[in-house]
Amino acid sequence: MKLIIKEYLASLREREELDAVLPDLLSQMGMNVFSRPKRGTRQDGVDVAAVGSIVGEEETVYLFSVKPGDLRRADWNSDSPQSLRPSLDAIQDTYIRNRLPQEHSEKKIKICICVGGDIREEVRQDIEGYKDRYRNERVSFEEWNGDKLAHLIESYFLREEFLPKAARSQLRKAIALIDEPDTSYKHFIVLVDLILGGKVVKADQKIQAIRQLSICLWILFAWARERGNLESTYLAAEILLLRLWQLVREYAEKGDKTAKSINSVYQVVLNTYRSVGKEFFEKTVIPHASKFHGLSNAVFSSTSLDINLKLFDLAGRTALYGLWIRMYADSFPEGSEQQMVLSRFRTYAGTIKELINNNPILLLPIKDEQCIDVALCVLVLLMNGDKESIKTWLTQVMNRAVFAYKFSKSYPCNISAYHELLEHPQLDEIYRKNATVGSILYPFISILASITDEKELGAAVQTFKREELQHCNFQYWYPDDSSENHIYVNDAIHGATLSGINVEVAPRDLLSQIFDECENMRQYWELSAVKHGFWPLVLTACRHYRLPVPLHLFQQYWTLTKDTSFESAPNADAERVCVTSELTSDCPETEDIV
Amino acid sequence: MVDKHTPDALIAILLNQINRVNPEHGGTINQIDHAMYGLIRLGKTDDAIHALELLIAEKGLESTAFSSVLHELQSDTTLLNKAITRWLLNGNHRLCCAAAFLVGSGHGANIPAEVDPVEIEMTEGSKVIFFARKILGYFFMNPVSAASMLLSLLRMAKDTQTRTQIGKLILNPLLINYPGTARTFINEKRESCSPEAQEVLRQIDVALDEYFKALRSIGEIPELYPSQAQRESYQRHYHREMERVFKDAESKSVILGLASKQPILYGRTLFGYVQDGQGSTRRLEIPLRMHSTEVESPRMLQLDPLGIEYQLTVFRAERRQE
Repeated sequence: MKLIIKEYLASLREREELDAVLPDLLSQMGMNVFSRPKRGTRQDGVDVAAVGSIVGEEETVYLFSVKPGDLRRADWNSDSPQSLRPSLDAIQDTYIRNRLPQEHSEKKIKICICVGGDIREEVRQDIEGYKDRYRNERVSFEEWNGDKLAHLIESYFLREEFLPKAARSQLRKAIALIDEPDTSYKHFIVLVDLILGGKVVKADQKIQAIRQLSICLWILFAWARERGNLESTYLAAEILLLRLWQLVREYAEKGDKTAKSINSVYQVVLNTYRSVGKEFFEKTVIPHASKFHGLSNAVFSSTSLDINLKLFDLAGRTALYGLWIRMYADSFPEGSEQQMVLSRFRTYAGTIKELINNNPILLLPIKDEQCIDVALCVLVLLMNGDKESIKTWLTQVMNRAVFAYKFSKSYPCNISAYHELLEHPQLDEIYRKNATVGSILYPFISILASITDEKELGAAVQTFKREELQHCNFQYWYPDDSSENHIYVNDAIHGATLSGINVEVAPRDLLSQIFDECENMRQYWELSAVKHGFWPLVLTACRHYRLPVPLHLFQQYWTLTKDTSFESAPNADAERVCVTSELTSDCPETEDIV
Repeated sequence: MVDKHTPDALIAILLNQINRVNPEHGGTINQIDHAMYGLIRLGKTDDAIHALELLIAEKGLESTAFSSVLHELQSDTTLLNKAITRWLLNGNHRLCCAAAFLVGSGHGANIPAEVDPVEIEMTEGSKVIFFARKILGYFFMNPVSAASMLLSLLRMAKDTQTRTQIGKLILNPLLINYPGTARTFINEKRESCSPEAQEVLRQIDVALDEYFKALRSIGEIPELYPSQAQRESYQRHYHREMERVFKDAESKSVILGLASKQPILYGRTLFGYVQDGQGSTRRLEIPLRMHSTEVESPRMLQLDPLGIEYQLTVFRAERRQE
């Protein structure tokens, strides 16, 4: 196990990645972390600062200067801001004198050179010389290399009392099978079940469990990155966000110390999801979305079914990540930093547009439930003020759906088993009706046609329903009272469905029909994630567990279309998105930004 | 039967009555097939082709009903070019299918063909593009036939705009789907083209090279690969499909109807002993050989099957505005 951890530590590439682990490790060791890593440069040489005693030693202040990977000559003393010697000088010259909190001023200080890998021999003499020269009664130096960190992580996070043998075995299997992502992910889920399945009731048990799973995710991520396959890590990061929210949600409203600790460890998991997502999308989608047939071709499959399933999945993931960035942008006050994050959001919106334009397989889902991915993409495009792309896309989807249905090609169906999809479609009429018993896709298109005032598109759905899909129950799902307890863990069926949606009415009547139900089913706004501004978490649940995207998120765009200001906006969050969408609509075309 | 002794006047009368035939009378149709064959042998090709058009387009008879005469057309390049140009330009679905039958059936499948300049007025750009789209709509599964027809159309095109439009069709959907056989065919023939046509082909080459260069630049993205379970499931499905197709083909095999079947499990030579008819046995040794055939399937069958189906359906269905 230690070797696995050591390898993971050695593979961390950025200082921030090692920073992410260290504070949690120190907290777990019983120390009080009083300075955590901040974005950008170090604080006078210090990345992490903590106070406490390790294995019964005198209470000491530990000041960490962190360096990922091995420490080489070039990292020791150069012009780089990441260079170690200037940082150690700054700690002694500035930090200890000016920034060390008053209550620790009498305590002994250990300056820790923290490296993910090893200190290379080529720099050993310089370090020893430096330590001899600056060591005194109060200040001493310590080396925390990958070996020591691995030992501490194993002892404090993953030791057998906390992490049972079976769970350690699942982590090892998840790592070993990274090249078979489905299996790797299944082992990770078992690991999550094992850790959360025991007694995780009290706050400290929850913190412990979250930290353990957080480090497990990081270990998986680091290994996956080395192996060049992030698929299982991406899925693991999503499921972890969801499963852990179930533990965290009750503390989200509280402001006490325990709540802060729990929220802070959850934040680490969220940051890990962001890191995994960034790595995943910058590798798979962003550089290749502009290439005609590029990503379809990269699926390397003999059947178009695989390409269809993968590309819609990829589009949904990209959109979801874009929506997380959109939420992240809201955490900044208006200004240049927010604009920077918003420009990243627009990059993702542009990527989705390119993905659709260059991969025509995205012009028709094979499964009706892929409407979930379509809805996520549409939401991003709406937030980016790009109704034109939505109209073009959905019109093509409708054209193809009608053609496919009439000519018995691969029309959207209610089949979910892969082996059955391989046989889809079959020619007999009974099969055709059974394969299209219900739909969320067509009512969704009809709703969007009404919101974007695209009459022809709406009429196309109406005609299709009237002429071919009389047997098909147009419907949509709304979260209800039971959703809060199940949506993050998917342990039971929940929510309610509006059945028999009538699309053959005027657009305004259709939208009233749909959005009046949003008013009746206000439980969406009561979902803990939504209440605390984490609305993309609900969308993560929808994507991961295959639930329709709540229509409450689209309601405000009808409000905008009606041009009746925000008086009927459901809450402040909705209003904020409206305002921002106006801001983004003033921005240049997404392609220009990309 | 029609032969050189049959008076022309009688042939004319018979041809005038041909549209009265009942399509369900297989024997009569068979006789007509042989009569048409005879007409072609007599050099009365226009009469034969016209009669066929009548029977196929108006009476709704399948191309397979006229295997003798169509085979005769297939074996004569001039006649083949004439028939397929006429029929594709006509736009009638049944005639276009007969044209596709001519280039895509039997041992001569996917044969190169050319546009018959007598049959088409090249000054009318929209007619030329309509024709090019019909070629793609009906010959798409025979890429060499489609490529040869489009190339000959490109050579004959009178203006830059028409050449550019034909070039776009050659690029997409033809060469983007068949970067192997069709592209090789065009490359082999490019020297015989006019400078204007060569310029269009050069632009196609550049676009195609850029397209494939972009695809190659992506490299491997294992995150996008189907899972092991999906791959296995697809393999099972594919195996079942192949087995079914093989059995279907076997049941229609003429050879298996004449000879008995002896499956060989091992080895690469077959030997046995046969009676020589004079009371003694002789050792007979038959070396076995590998037989293989290669078919290039359009790339869009994987990347965008519905899109290509839709495009080809539109090409087939569209009618020319007179």
